[in-house]
Amino acid sequence: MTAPQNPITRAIWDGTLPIKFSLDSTEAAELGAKVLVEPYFLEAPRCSYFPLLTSQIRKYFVDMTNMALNFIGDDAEIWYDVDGIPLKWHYPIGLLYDLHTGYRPDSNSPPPLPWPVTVHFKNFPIDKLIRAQAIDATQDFFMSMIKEADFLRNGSTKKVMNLSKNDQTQLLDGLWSSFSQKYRTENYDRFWSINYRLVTNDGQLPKHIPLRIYLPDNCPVIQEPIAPSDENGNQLTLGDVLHQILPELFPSPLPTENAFAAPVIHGVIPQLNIPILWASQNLCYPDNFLHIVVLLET
Amino acid sequence: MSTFSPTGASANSTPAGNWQGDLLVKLLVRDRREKAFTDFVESYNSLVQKLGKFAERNTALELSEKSATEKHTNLLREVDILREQGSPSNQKKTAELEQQIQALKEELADLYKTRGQNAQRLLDMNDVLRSHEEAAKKNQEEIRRLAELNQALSAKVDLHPQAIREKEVTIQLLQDENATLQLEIGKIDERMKDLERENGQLLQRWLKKMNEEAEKMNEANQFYESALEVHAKALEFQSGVVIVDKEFTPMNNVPKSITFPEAGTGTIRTRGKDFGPVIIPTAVIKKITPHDGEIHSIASSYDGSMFATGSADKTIKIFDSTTGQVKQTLSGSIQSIMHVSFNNTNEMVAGASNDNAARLWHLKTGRIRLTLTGHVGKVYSARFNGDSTKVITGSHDRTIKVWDLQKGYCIRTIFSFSSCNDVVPLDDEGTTLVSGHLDNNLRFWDVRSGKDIKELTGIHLGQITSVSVSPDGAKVLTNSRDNTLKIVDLRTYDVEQTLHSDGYKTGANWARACFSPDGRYVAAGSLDGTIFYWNIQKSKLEKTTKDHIAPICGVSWSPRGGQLFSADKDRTVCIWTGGLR
Repeated sequence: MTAPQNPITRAIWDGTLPIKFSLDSTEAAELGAKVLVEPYFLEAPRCSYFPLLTSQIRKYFVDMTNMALNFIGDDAEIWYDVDGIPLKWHYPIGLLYDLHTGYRPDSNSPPPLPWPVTVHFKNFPIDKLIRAQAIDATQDFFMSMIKEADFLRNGSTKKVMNLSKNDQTQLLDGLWSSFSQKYRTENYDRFWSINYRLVTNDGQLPKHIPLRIYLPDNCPVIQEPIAPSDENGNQLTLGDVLHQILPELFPSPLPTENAFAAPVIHGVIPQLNIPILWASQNLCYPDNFLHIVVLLET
Repeated sequence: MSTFSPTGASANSTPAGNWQGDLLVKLLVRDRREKAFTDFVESYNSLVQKLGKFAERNTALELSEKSATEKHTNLLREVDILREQGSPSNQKKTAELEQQIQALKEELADLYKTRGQNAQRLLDMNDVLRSHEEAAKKNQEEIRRLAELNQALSAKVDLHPQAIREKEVTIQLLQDENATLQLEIGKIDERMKDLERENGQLLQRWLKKMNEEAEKMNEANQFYESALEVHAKALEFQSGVVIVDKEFTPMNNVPKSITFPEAGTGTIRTRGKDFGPVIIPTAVIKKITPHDGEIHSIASSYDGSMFATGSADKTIKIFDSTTGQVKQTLSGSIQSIMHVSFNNTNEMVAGASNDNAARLWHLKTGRIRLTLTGHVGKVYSARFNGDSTKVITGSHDRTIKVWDLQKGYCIRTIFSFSSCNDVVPLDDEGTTLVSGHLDNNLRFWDVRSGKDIKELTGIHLGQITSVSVSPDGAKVLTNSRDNTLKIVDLRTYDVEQTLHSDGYKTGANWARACFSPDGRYVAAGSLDGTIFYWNIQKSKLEKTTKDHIAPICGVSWSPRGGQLFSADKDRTVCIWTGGLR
């Protein structure tokens, strides 16, 4: 089966972020850097995860001869932060950017690009991050998210569990090698040919929409069971859902009256009249979840 | 697009274009901002890669440069050395020095040689010295030893004269004593002669008196005999049955009073005291089958009023000897009873059992008084001593045990080397025993020491099945599986008589024979059910009777004299009494 050619999903898949990785200055001294360590630049896919970049970053900082850093630990020891806040390795990179910069595309003060991220080789913050961010753990976490999404849609994880070994590998391989610029199209086809069956739920109306809402200022993540339509069978829109969950921030389901707060998905603010079902199918991250960051007017 | 959103995206297709387009535009705007650095990053990455390669190459070059420099310096140094050696003065010097070296080397070789010789000589000298030292040490030790020996010998020599002196004194003393003793012997000889003379006189006087008494007694006997004859005739007249054994009657009475000199010297045997007239029982007056199992043993009480049987049905039954009725049944044994016996006062019965124990029953209560456990094999014999203070048991565990009834425990265990089939006390105290064994031997024991007094081997060719002591205590009767009975004299331990007969075959390993109460007859039951009577005074078979049809396992002569009880394997018990002669 080939992947459907949809310009929106394709644009989301192709979305990238330029990131500037710089070494923590105190750690650099501890690790025995003789010269000033220059930062490393990388363009990462918004749908990818940080642990997938770790080996490349380590290669640059540790193995490049002119740096001569003294680090022999596991990849899992390496972590990242932005402005002193550790980055959760199990969130997609795009979501982390939207969440941490708090940038509303409709405002006039865009944050600087490339995105400055600090790399740490020591002092893993066990109290703030989950340990074990090797590629295996990331893979496991990704699969469990897909299963959770499937469970929300169907009340069981049968669809994911019934995927053949081959299909699973195809799904993961498509995502894992996604940041290689060269094979971007090929990987999109590999991933979406499998993912299409999952997000469309084989043509059946899902019970609930896999959806997570992130609020600024470290508020807990909101995840509530949301049906795709109301009691009368009318399809709900994104505005309806946000109004239902956060009535204070979204006093009306209509876009005109909600100037105060805005939902950001994949770095853009979508119109509130998008049917929630369509949004779930087309605007979700690879983990099948619709991650919505709600930003307030500053 | 409509295929991708199957759940009614087509319904609002008009606005769909609107927001989808809007989204696309917004995404494009985003990408324009965020992908502005794509080219920079890409070229940066390739530069970084190149940098990495250059750095690698640089280090490699540095390394090769370093080694090249090192090589160069080495070469320079070598050139310097060579240049110095090349000068003519140096060459001359070198030659001289080489000559010197040669001379010195030779000298050194010489020195080494002499040193080697010296070392060899030193070693030789050391060896010689050591051997000398050893010899000296040995000599010294020898001297010391000899000196000690010398000292000891001289001390001994000093002692000898003293000893000789003492011995001389002793000899003197002994000679003195000898003289006095010889004197005494002379005196005693004289006195003995006097006494012998006196004794002769007394003997003559005693004989005279005895003769007088005998005459008197004979007269009395004659009178008694005539009276008895008159009485017998009168009885014959009345019933026509002979009750009294005429041949025996006078014998019965006479020894009581006069001509039985040994009776006074030996131990008095209570069991032979009050028997009635002995008649060979030939008629069955009662035939009973009281037991459920094979009968192993039968025994008459000491007053003849009852008898007991022990059986494989684990009980002992007590019978009235005249009526043959069961008076009591004694139970409590776990296995078959192998042997029963009464005590002297007929108050108790001892039963030996296959369950490795012997038990004593009180006849008054009919209950077990004591259970004697300690044997580790079947108990084949249990008997009381004369005053019922002890019980003697013989077992197949090759021991004989003596039990004290007051204390209630075993006071002596005798290791008899062979399984014991029967054991009988030889005297009232129960201090000497005689036992018959599986290994054909008859053994005599002293209970006090627990030692063997005498062992008679080779008297029988088969295992001894029973042992009984004659009423006068002078003889022992043995029954054996070689189908003979022997009478052994207790004083000489010789076989006095061998009793056997055609047709007599011992019925069982525990078949018991017995003496008549007067000791004149011996009764034994055979395999075919016949009872044999031997007269041991005439040493011949007196009579056989047959009423049993199974092997007889035991016979017991009533102390009253006129009755005999027999039992066979087929559970039959017969009471015999004197019939017509």
